[in-house]
Amino acid sequence: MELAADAAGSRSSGGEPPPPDDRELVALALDRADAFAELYRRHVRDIHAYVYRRCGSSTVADDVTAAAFERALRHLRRFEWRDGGFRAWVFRIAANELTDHYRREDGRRRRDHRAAAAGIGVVFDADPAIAVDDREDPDGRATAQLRSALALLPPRYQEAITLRYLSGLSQQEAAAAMGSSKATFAVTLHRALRALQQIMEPQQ
Amino acid sequence: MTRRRDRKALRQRIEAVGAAPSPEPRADRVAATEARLRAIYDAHGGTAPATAPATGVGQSRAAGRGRRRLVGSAMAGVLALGVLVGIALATRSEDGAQNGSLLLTAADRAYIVLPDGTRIPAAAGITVPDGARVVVEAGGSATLDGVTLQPGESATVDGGEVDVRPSGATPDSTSPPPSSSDPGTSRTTDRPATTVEPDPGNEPPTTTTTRPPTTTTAPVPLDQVLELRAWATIDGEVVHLRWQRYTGDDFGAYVVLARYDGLAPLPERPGNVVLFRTTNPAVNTRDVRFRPGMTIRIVAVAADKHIVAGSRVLRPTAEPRINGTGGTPAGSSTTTSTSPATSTTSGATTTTRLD
Repeated sequence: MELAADAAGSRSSGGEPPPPDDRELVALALDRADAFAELYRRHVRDIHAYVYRRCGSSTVADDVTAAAFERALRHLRRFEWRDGGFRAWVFRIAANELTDHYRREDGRRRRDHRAAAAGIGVVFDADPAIAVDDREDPDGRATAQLRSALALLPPRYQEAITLRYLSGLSQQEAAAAMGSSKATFAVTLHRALRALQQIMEPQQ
Repeated sequence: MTRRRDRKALRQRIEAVGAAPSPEPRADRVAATEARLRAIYDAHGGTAPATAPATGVGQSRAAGRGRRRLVGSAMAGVLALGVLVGIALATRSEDGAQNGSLLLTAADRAYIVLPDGTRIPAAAGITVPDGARVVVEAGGSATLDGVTLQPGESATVDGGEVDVRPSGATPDSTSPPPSSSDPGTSRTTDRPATTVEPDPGNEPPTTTTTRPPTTTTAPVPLDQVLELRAWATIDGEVVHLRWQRYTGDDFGAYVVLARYDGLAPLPERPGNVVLFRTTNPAVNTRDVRFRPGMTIRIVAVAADKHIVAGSRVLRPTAEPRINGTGGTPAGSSTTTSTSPATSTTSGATTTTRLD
């Protein structure tokens, strides 16, 4: 309520102040923790759902979402309002965080393998954390099938489809989240769908 | 038109999956993260932290563009240099007389033993270096510098000349046994390949491989990379794939390629279908749907998409079971054993042919 009043004060409008929009909250958040906390609470579910749909693990989604918001805060002073706004920006940060997460996981796994290989005649056990077909699957067969097919796509195609259709971002927001123009995003999305279709055809 | 309709249906299917609820973030994590964010404010006198160096947050585009341009120019330079080096190497290789190497123009069921003892599958187009030996297995043949080798024969390249002899008499005291390779003592060559036979009857063993550095930027043909042993068994309409794990440091992903036109799924050949891809080096099984005439090849690729190991072509074929009462279609099979090397099926006969 206090935030709403402050935001309304900056708009100089009378009557009951409406809740501040993201743009106003970002401006307030430069100096106020409660403004950024409000932004966090407002978008945490969407970001978590997006990461979950990309990786299929709720635990990883928790970690990546937390890291994404912390990174957003640390770079808030450099944020410039563009198409898609704060939400699209955090989506993009989350996508980068997820990529970093996988890189770290890959490095860790390779170190483990190297250490084990220094022993004798090692047969490695499957690591269920990353395997495409080992992921948690509370959503049923259709989701699992789609997720397996999505996992075969290049990361950029995965990102486009997840942002646009699984996370429900508008074309403009999704383009901004990927750091591309609307036209470029449309082409990427078209190609991504075509590639997904080709992958899913033999499975059907 | 149909494809467009299909794509629309696919889009709707994805949206339906997207509309399904996903798990909520854990409440205690949300509270903890909010507390942490507030603590960051406190640590900076109640304000947002001063800007950290730019790292993938999608802003400062002008600076990003400048960096990208610089990186792009540098990469273009490196690429151009690589192409020049590649051309120079290719030119040098074609002129076998310069370094005593000879061109292999045809090869079937043959392998090459490099001077350091490394054994690689032979394939047309390979330049066989001086001191290396081409060995033809039973039923195979090879043509080296116009000389055709018969089954059981081998030929050593000796200063640009072909020295043919019967295979059994070949190994002399100076050449190590063909199947052994010690990467630690190997001489660096541009043939990054080592073959390790899996132990039949057991879990496919892991293969720790040290690939010698490549000296050319051209893609390495599939026949010149490490062989990945692979097996396929059919259970009804499902093909169970299993392959030897690749544990080289350069592992990026396993990719299962397939074709339905009977041709071998060569990576560079258009029309391959990617049935499966995983970046998990521990995954070495996959079930795919059987289709008559399908060919499958499993490859391991490095992070930069170069193929580092590849299986031979698998042609899973379902044959009627002969059980005294007539054939039973493969689709009626019920179980399949889990050991790939000793795979058996009850209810159907499984045949896997390796090319």
